Amino acid sequence: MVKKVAELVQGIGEGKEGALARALTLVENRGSGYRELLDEIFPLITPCPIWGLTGAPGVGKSTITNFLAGELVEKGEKIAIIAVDPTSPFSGGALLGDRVRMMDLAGKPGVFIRSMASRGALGGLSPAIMDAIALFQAFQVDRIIVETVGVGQSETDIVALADSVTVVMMPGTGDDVQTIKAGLLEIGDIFAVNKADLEGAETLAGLLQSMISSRTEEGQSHQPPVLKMIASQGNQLEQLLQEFFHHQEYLNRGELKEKKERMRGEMALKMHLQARFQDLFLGPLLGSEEWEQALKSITGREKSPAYWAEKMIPGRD
Amino acid sequence: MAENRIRVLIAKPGLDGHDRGAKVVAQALRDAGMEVIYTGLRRTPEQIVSAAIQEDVQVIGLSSLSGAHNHLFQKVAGLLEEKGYTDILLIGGGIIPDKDRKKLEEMGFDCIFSPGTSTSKIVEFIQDRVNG
Ligand SMILES: Nc1nc2c(ncn2[C@@H]2O[C@H](COP(=O)(O)OP(=O)(O)OP(=O)(O)O)[C@@H](O)[C@H]2O)c(=O)[nH]1
Ligand SMILES: [Mg+2]
Repeated sequence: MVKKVAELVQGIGEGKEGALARALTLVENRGSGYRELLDEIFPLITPCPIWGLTGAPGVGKSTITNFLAGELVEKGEKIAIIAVDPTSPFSGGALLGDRVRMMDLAGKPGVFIRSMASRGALGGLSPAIMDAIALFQAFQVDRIIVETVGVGQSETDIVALADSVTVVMMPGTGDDVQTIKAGLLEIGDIFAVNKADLEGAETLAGLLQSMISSRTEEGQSHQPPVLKMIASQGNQLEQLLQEFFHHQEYLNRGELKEKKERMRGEMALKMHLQARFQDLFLGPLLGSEEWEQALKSITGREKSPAYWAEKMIPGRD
Repeated sequence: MAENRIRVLIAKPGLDGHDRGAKVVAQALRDAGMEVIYTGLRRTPEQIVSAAIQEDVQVIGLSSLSGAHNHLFQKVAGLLEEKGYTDILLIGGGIIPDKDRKKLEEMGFDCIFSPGTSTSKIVEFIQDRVNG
């Protein structure tokens, strides 16, 4: 084993934050030895509940996370927070500002906050996020909270990732029938209408409630609750915490938990296969002689991209 | 395929209230392709160093509006030294008297930028020192 990887594994086993932080970077960067690292920490993993918060920019996800994590740490839990923000498609950079609204957690023992940019994933979650979760579980955290901005793909990814998902909304941002239709109803285990101090919260909550009731099947034991809250004033946040616990109990009773485990395993496997594909097939092709030849032929309208793809990676499909 | 990105923590220690300068720098660094963790106002040196360790940044940028925060800057440098994180590039910006600037540079600051410095100069400095 590479010395660096061995040191990281040992550090994580000993509960050292510095080692965990470096390991997270190695995995995010897909740096040399990252697969070995993930393989080595795999036996150290203790599964723990994963909670997700998603919603449009600025609805109050970090303010809520700040409260939830604060309460859980008071109860003696060790908490990890992964806060995902989008990478700029133009520069590749990102502004990760979630810590601004998590001031009560700053420097608090028992809380590890990691800000992650979405990087390669177009609008979605970082491909490394599953690996970050594995590292935190090897670090023996009691719970992981994932905050993601709800744009496009990340909304469906969060379902595969988290055991319990709260969709956060606020009034007056076009969170109306149209937005609600766009798949949000399917992904929430809990709905939070935040900023109830602003006009329109009542209407939004009512609308949500009726849409949820109409799609909840007869006999279905979990009907997603709708909570109105004022996160900035701490209002109704305790309720949200309780709802998360309820949902978790609900999961533990049935077979859903295993189903979630399987979904997560599948997502992680797919992500790693994609990375292998990148490294072994796409990487060597990019910029190669064949690549240039193909581009010339495509732009010269001789042979199609479909033709070239099959030529580059032969085999039947 | 390895994909390294420069990660930077931007913080503003001390109690005074506005952070426009820090935000402008944060945005410029983002536009130069860096991942910028912005922590907001009123952070203690301990909180800043703890965040830098968890976020595994290669650079910490501290902003200050007056020389009054000199001791907070020093405290950050001291904590980093104490915890063995001297490889982190430490930069500062704001209105800082010459004599304090010298002292800070002796204490481990790699550069103190004066208020008029263009953001492209800061970007260049970071890229040079981290990649070079
Ligand atoms: N009026 C009002 N403002 C709130 C409430 N909760 C949060 N805010 C404010 O809304 C703004 C955004 O809050 P955040 O917690 O950063 O929201 P977020 O969803 O994490 O934002 P992004 O991570 O940028 O998508 C902040 O200025 C909060 O102070 C609330 O209940 N009412
Ligand atoms: Mg946020």
